Amino acid sequence: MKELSLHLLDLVQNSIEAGARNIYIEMKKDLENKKLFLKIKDDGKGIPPEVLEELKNPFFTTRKTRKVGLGIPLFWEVVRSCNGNLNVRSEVGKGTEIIAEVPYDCIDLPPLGDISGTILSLIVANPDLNLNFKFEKNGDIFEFSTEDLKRELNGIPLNSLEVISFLKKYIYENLGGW
Amino acid sequence: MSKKLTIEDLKKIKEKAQADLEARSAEGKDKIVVHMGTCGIAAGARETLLAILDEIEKRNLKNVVVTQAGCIGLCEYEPLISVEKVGSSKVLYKHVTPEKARKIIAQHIVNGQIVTEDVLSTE
Repeated sequence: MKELSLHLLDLVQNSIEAGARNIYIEMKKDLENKKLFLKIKDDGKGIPPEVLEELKNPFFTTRKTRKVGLGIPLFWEVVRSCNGNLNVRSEVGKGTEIIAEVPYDCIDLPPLGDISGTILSLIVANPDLNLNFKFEKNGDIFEFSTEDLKRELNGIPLNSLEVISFLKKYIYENLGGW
Repeated sequence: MSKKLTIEDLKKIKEKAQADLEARSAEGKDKIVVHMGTCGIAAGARETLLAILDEIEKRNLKNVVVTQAGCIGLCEYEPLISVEKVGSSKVLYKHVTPEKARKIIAQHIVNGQIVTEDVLSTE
């Protein structure tokens, strides 16, 4: 993966695959302490303890379509090479929480990349999910939830053309400088 | 400098979107599925999806819905997308770069002609 925003997109796919209806995504850029913080919390089916132990192993997967599971191992490689921390907590039937913290000035850290594109892709391709976002950069906070958007839209799907146009501008305007 | 968009601005588009929705609710929609497993994302599926959204917006295609699916085990052909036009069979396209995605929208979705050179399978 060439961008951290692609890792984010990939990690959230795990929540979607786990049947989550509500997903919380938080990113914090603390330039003073040179830390990047990422949290993904979902209410999916959760991960059994024996699978949790194998999460960082690329040659372990619960899928039948292929014999590798690369999402978390690839992200772990990035975190590990920057001496960061990655914690995954999960409870079967309740959900999963992933928390990562990495030094922002690590030379092996990929660029954040098109974070707006990641967010737009997630919302438009999954209009029924409730996605909650919080982005914080040195105290400036941008947060929104698709539940609020849906309430405002009163039955108009998030993937209808006018809403896509709105979201594109809204997200890029607010996250452009991230 | 113009003011940033806020959620309040959504209200302005709501009426128009509602009218379009009512006009089209009886019809089926053409469906594009972008495969977004780790393999797809690493191969460029996000850029493909964004190009599809851009093309749909540019061409004002209100009868197309874009959704996502996971890995189907054909990782070497990623990015994969499937296109299902109303009343036609499903077509799975391989190695769909943003440029190919734009061509598929123009040729398959708009004009109903399958882009045969990029087809992996049909159902």
